[in-house]
Amino acid sequence: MIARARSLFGKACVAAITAAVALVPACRSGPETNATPGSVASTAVPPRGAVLTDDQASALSRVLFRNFEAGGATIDADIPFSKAARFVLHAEMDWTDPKGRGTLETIYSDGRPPEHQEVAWTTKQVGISSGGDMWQQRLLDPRQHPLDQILAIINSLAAQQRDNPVLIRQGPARYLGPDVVNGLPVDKFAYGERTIWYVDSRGELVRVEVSTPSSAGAVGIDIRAPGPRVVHLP
Amino acid sequence: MLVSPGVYRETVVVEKPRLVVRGLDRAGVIIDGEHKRENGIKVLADGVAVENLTVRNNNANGVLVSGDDYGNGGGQLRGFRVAYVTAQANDLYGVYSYAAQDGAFDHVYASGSGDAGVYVGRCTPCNTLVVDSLAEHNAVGFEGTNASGGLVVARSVWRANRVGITVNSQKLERKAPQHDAVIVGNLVDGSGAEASPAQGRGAFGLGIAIGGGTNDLVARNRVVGSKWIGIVVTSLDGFVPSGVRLDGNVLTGNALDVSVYRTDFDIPGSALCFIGNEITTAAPLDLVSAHPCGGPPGPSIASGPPVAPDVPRGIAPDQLPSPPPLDNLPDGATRTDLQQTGGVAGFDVAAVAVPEP
Repeated sequence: MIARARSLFGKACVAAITAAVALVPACRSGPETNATPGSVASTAVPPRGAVLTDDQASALSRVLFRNFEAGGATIDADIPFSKAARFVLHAEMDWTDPKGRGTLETIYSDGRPPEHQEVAWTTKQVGISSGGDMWQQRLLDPRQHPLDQILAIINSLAAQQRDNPVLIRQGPARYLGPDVVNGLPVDKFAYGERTIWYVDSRGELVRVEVSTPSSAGAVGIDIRAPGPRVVHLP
Repeated sequence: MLVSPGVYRETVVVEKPRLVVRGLDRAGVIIDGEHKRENGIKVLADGVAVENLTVRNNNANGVLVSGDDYGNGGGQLRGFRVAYVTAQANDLYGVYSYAAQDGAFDHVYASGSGDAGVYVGRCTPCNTLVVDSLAEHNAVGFEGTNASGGLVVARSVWRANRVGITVNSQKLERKAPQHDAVIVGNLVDGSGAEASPAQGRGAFGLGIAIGGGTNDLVARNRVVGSKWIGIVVTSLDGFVPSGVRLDGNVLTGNALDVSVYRTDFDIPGSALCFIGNEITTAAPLDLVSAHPCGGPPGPSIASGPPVAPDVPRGIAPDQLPSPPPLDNLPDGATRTDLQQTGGVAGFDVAAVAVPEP
């Protein structure tokens, strides 16, 4: 599972996504496709924004817990992991026993036709299939695989306990102002140097943008239709 | 300010210094968050005492004492006392001081906390005494994160929690690393209780856990019935323990009495020493004999954690047992000797003995 130091002795899981991103080193190994390896780390840093109010900190402290209570969601992720190619992930996620399954499209910038694969994952393993019942299975390793970085982040978008709003206010989270996602008004928050959350008026996390060291740009993760999911692993 | 018995469905925010908020009946004066509000009582001023009442059903904390610098350069709150307070079924902490010093938690009862029953966070110096309290059926009984200098946790009972006591260093809270805490004369019983709130992916079955602490003293505690480890010292969040002294503790009936193991870093031989403890089982096996206090540092430790027990899912706070009968503040309606600050200056650590079973 994602390394969360705070959880060792029973602390609320503050900034799980930040922790997941921090876990990822600059990746110099090639991804699972023929795309250019050794992608350049993004240096995008969100603007500083405003210190959170108590109400904003309280709302943020519940975001991941709300996902856990919802049980799951549909995930759409756009992962520009290099200038040569990007992944587009469409998956169903079960956060109660974290696991997901969906389709992974690799889109090349040089005009080659896209590749389609199926991907399934837990907190420990990843399986990828190019068709049929043949699956390549390996350990989930965000330090080695750009795709795994994103899967690890998706896994971390739920928590069995709410966070501590006092620490969220103390921390680097900042309010960046109103915005619109998929036509709906949201509030935009910087959550650490490389993560932006978009939270709707119900307090639900609808989009996350993350700049990982191995992505060529911000990774966008949309969270749709929260609710229970039954995910069957291969 | 004397508060008459009744159920108060509100958050009390104290911004006036040197105020005493005292209930006339501990069990009968109830600040009820109805699982709608964040905090029962929020103290933001120096020298405030909260006494003799109950705080329950808050989405975050029962009582929060907060020096509010939020990284903007402000100082710590100075002086607080939370005494004869019952904190039940609060989703995070029962009673909680943050960026506050010169304080006391005494005769506190905390149960059903989704995190720690009593929590002291982010203070240097803390100069804070936690004493004569009881915390049961919490995810953690007592937690002190980045709480350094004059933190004394003494003469209290921490039973049937998932983790009894933890003092640790963590990056996500300011003032790391933690140092110079004293844990003395506590009864830590039955850590790893199934009848405790679900605790995410937190630890389970630890009696006393020191994570990345420096110069902490763990003395004359009785640690019994821990489902995993009675006393554990390890690194945490990149912080390596140093100079932790385990002195005169009595450990019985734990799955494993003491252990030191690496998480992110090897544990240096200077991390801890043992003197005068009653210990039967240890991992590594020669842990106690190889790390005596007063001798040269023992070998560093590179082994991983012992096999941990399965972690039960936990239960809802409203399914927990009711509190036992609890003392009221003596002469609460009439006494005029206000105690609005705490601190450890008058507390004789040396006089605290190992508690009876």
